[in-house]
Amino acid sequence: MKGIIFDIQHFCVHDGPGIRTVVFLKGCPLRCIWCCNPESQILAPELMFDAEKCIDCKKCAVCDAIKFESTISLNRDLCNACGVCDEVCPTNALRIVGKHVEAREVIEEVLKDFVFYKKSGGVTFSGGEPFMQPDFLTEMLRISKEEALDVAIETSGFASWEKIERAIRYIDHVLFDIKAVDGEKHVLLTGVRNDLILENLRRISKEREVVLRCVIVEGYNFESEEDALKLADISRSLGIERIDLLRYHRFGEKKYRMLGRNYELKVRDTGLIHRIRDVLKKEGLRVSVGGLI
Amino acid sequence: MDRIKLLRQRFISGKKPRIFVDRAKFYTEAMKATEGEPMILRQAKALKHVLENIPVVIFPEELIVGAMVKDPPGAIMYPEGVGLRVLPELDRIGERKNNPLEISAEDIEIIRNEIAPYWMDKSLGAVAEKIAPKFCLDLLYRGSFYVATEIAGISHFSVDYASLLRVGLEGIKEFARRKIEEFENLHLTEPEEIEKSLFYKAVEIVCDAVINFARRYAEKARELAEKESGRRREELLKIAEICEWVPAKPPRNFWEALQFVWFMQVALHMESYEQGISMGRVDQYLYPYYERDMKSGLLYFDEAVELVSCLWIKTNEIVPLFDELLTTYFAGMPTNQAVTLGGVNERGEDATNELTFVMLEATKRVALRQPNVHVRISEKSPKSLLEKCAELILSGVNAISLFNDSVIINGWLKLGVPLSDARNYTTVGCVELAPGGKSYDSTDAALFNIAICLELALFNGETRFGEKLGVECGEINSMEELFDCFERQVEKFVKCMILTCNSFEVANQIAKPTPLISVCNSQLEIGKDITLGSAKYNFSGVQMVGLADVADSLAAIDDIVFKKKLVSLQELIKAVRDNFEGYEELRQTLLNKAPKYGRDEIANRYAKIVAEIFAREVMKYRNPRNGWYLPGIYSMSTHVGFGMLTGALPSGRKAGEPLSNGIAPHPYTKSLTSAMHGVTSIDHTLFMNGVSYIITISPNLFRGEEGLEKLISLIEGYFALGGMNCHFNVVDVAKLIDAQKNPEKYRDLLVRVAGFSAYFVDLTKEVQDEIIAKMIEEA
Repeated sequence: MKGIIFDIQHFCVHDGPGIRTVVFLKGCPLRCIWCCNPESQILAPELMFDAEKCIDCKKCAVCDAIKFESTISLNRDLCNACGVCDEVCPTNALRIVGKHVEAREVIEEVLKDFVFYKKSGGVTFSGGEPFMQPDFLTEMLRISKEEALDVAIETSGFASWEKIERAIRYIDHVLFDIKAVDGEKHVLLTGVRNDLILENLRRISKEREVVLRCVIVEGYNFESEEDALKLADISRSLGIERIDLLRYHRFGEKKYRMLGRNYELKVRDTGLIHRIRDVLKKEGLRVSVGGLI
Repeated sequence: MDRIKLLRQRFISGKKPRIFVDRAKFYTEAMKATEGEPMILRQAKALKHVLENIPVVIFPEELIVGAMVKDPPGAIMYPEGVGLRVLPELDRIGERKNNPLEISAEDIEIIRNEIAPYWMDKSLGAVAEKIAPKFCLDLLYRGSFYVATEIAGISHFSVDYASLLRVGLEGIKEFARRKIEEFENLHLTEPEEIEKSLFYKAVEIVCDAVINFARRYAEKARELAEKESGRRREELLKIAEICEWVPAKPPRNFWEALQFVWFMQVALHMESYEQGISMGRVDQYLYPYYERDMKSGLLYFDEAVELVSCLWIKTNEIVPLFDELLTTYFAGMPTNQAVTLGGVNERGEDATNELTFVMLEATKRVALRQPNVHVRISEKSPKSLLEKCAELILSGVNAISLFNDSVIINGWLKLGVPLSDARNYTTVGCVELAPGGKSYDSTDAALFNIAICLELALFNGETRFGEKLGVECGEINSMEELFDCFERQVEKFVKCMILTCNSFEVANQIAKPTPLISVCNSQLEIGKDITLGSAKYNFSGVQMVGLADVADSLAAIDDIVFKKKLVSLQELIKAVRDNFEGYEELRQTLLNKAPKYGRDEIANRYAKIVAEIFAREVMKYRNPRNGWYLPGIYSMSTHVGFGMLTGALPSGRKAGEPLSNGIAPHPYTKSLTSAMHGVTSIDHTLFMNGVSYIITISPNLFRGEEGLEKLISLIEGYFALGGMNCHFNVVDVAKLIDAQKNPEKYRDLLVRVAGFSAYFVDLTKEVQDEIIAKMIEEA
């Protein structure tokens, strides 16, 4: 069974308990305006170009999509991500992100670090949205369990319950992203409604211990401490104890450029994340602030 | 002010260390006065003269006394070794860029007029030059093939304090006296006995010398007590009493035992040069004294920590006296006095005890460069030991290294060391190892640039400047032929290095017997100086430098030249010869498209093969003490020195760039665990002189209790894979700022940025600034 991933990162220490290997599945139904991994969104390989690395050697001028005038110019409409340019580019300025791989192949790569997992670590499936490739995901989950791996998943929760239900028995830890609490805002900021997401959260939290993850994009998904209270309500009503708050950052900006896209979000930081943290703590939740610390 | 804070102040004030000539002056005086006598007696008398005359200083609030130099930190001069290499630099040594040192005009005069002239034709170097093959010396002086250190003396051993403490120096003296009397009374008629009795006379002299040195401190303490009152007066009187007793007699309590050790350390440093004179398993041989005092209520945990801290601080008194060239090869002013903690005992049981934790706590409080604290971790170590170490590592105490008992003990067994000595191994210097008990292993005899062997293999036995130094092999058309040619270069240059080391050892036998080291670590009944092989174990250690560069280069040639055929070998060789001028595209291909050690299986395999070639070549040879050579993999900072003199390599590395550090891969991989897989694809039990693996981490990757657990999992995973040793380098803000300026030095520096960890140097300047700002803000 094959699927498409865009990275496997060994030695991750902030994506579930212990030392973990994170498998990033490509493809996401959401389009969060702050997304820091734009290469994770499309369910197909894509060409990324890092102009800073290009030495104008012209080795890549092998197809109609790549032309040289004074310098390189790309016509992405003509690119079918065949990968020849990636292969010949000496500096890796041109890279194809995303490749089709066998489920077993992925888990074999994960298992290389088995010796480091022993206390509490294991594999984390992230994305994109892992449930966008349900069969591939479920197959990887099944093999992981066969190999006695501890399994975590990081999901936006935007998938039909049937897909989640099939997978949940193989999953030990759920890291559930809350993009926005308010439904209207959710549509505006991510492109999809959040009823299904919240319903799935309700159902998952009955079956597994869930950690909520919220990136705080001040003025967008969170505007005030009141939003924090709503978040606290959801958590409490579902018996969820732990929330990881993540700082907003612009580290993905360059990747937009590398994909030939623009990134226009401007965020004002007045330290809302700390106020939210304090509110949530007062509400009796276990809160951590990830990032930049 | 807290005693420890006060005592460590001297070493963090930033004042320049001073060169002190006392030791050199008195040593030279004695050597001049004893011309014509047997060398071993001359050395004994010289040590006696030094210990009788060097200044005796007790600093305020000290509990452990005995000054290496009169106003620490400072450098001791060993004119018989490499101490006079600084001679031409003395006038501007205070202004040099790296590790500047102070010296008074008066002392410069003493060196120039009284010391230097005498040693010109008598130093170890001068003697060695009359012994070693000229070709080997020429190679040495090039600085690009190997560095052989025994021209400075031997040192680099772990003192057998367990035995010394049991009998005291008077016990040893009595033994020597009996032997001398037997000889004088005509009971010994075998011809060897004549030389033995000379040795015992030297032993008697040096034992007396150290005992009297301690008594000078007793007097000094009493003299100072007269001027003090209250608590300090009591302390000084106590110190006086202790110095009367040790090291003459076996210590009666913990404080005396610590003072015993320190007097010996000082005296040993007056005899032999200041590299790697290590204290061994301190938490083992000192434990009986600690336990007894604790049980009888004479000592509390905090007092024990304070006493140990006082000892730890003393090890910081000296820095080495290196000229500018040596500073490149051995940067950071190391003296590498190691202490060994934890591990299993001779019976294979866990040896960790309360004193282990006292010493770790002291390490945390002292938090200076010295001593090198080496913690042995076995499968039987309590969880609390690794937890405490992890806690210290994360708190930024960078003086701690961890050693893997199962790998090391197994390695000794393979060499035929008996189980009890294998289990009782100690650490020496920075990462070196020695079997338990009486061993003298010259663990840092030489460092070898393996990358230059590849350079010569590519150029058919010539250097890039066209000098025929290596072995000619004809044109190379396959990986096999390349390997064959490379092996022949390694074979030749390892041989040259060994011949150099052996010549230097013979020079030591002739010109620098060391009766005090013999007192500590030789088998006394043999009655021979330790330089002649009277220890139970007599290895010599030589280290490989540039492993990753060779592995990456071979993997690149295999992949880019022979498999993908992107370039011919002849063209690649030309590019390398031209330092990639005009070949940037090829260089980028080599850097970005070829397999790399620490990331790719095939390059890991090459690293393993290269390591085994080196080990095999080294282990062919014996030293003049009738011990075998053992290989190691570490570089101190010779990877920088060798790197400056090594041409471009097929890995894509340009001429002059530093080579890889120790066994670590170049930071191409983005995963620490992947690097660890690479590092452990090499069989560490073949490298029983020691392997250095330095891991740079940001403390914010491992925050809180969960973070501690994760660091422990990482260490345990590395050890389960067969890693011998690891050392964590915890980065702080200053390092991040340096990383911005010198990204090439920090390519593997991991930082926690947002919901993920990133390589600091991969981030844009703005993001880097942001991280630094946040770290400052949250500190």
